[in-house]
Amino acid sequence: MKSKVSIPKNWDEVYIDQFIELDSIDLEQFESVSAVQLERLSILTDTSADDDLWDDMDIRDMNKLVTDLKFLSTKPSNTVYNKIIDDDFMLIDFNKLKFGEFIDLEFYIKEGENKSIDKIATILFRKYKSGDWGEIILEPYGAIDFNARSEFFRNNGKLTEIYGAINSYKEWRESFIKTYKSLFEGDIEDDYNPEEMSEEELEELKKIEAEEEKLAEFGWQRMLISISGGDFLKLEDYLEIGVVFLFNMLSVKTALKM
Amino acid sequence: MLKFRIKDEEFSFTNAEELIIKDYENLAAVLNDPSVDEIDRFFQAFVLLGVDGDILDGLDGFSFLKIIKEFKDVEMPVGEFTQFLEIGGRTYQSFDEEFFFSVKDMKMIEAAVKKNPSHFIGEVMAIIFKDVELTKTEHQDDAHIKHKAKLIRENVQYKVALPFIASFSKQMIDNLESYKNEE
Repeated sequence: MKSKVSIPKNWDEVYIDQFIELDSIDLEQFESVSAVQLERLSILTDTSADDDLWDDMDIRDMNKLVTDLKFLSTKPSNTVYNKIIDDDFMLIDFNKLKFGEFIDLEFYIKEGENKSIDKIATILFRKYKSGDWGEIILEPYGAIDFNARSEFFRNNGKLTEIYGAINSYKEWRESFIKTYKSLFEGDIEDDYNPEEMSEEELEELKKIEAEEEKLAEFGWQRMLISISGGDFLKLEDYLEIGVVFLFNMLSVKTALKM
Repeated sequence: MLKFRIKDEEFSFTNAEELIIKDYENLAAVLNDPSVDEIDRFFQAFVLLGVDGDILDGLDGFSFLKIIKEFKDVEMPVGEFTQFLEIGGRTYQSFDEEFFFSVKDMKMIEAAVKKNPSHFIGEVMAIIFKDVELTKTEHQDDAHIKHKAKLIRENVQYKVALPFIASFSKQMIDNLESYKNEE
């Protein structure tokens, strides 16, 4: 039987849900080369590995299809699209990110940017409209049904529309963190040499590091509580502050030892 | 029947392809057992092929090596693909018009080979030959495959499996090549 299956020929034709599934393939869970190839093809054809289609397909036809999958071992394009999905969504200006949005992005980047690409896109791309003066008004973050929007991006967003924007955000984030390095660093001096430390000192250091690791899990919450002066009623207000403005103020506060 | 004459003594061997699959798998397992040295491996293999162990014991080393060489030089004829098997009143079919490995069958076969690298021929044949009265889902059921593999092992000669195994080996190499090209 001749193959009538159509598969993407490059990353431009791959959707976000397919990319997430491809990225999550754990080769060790598969018993053979054919099983891996079948999994990849079923993802890219939106079928299941149990689909009847694969019952009737000659393995030689599958291998011909597989030759079109070379692009999977390349990186998708880094082109940044300002508007995506029929121009319905616009990329936000990273410099105008709110503190709450920044914290959420940090969480999803830590979770794995490929795995969470739909969620990251939900934060970075918004619906928009023109205001009375022709200015662009972006849909507020709080007004988005996060799960529904992530699902929409998963099923309708093409990888290359979003991939470049995420890398661009990562570059911006790196530069942002570098700028405010002192605010991101912990209190522990790390210019110590374990070889010069006594056993007691090493033991103490281990305890401190374990404690820091535990606290790091709640790093953003701790920062939020700290800057709000422990006033829980103000927490949401702080999440709405621009992250650049907030870190500017925090670095001024630190510099002046206020 | 294979016959070798060493020092006026004739040795008769059952042709390996005439063995039922179960016995052939045992023979292959013996011949591929890395824990046994080559002489012992062939000694055990020849016994499995019907040669009297006492006669083999009486051979000098040179004669034994000569038999091994003769045995290794024997080529197994690869016949045509068999389309139907009749076992226990049931009919099993391997293809409609032309034999090919389907994607799903190949996936199952590779898993079976990986699971038991020295005894997989029964499973390979059980996956290829489908009971004409059963549905696809029933055919792919693990318990059904296991049952059928046992039946085939005990009732089908290796020469029936040989074309399928040869084709499978070639396909495995092609699969690996295509995977390598993709990477």
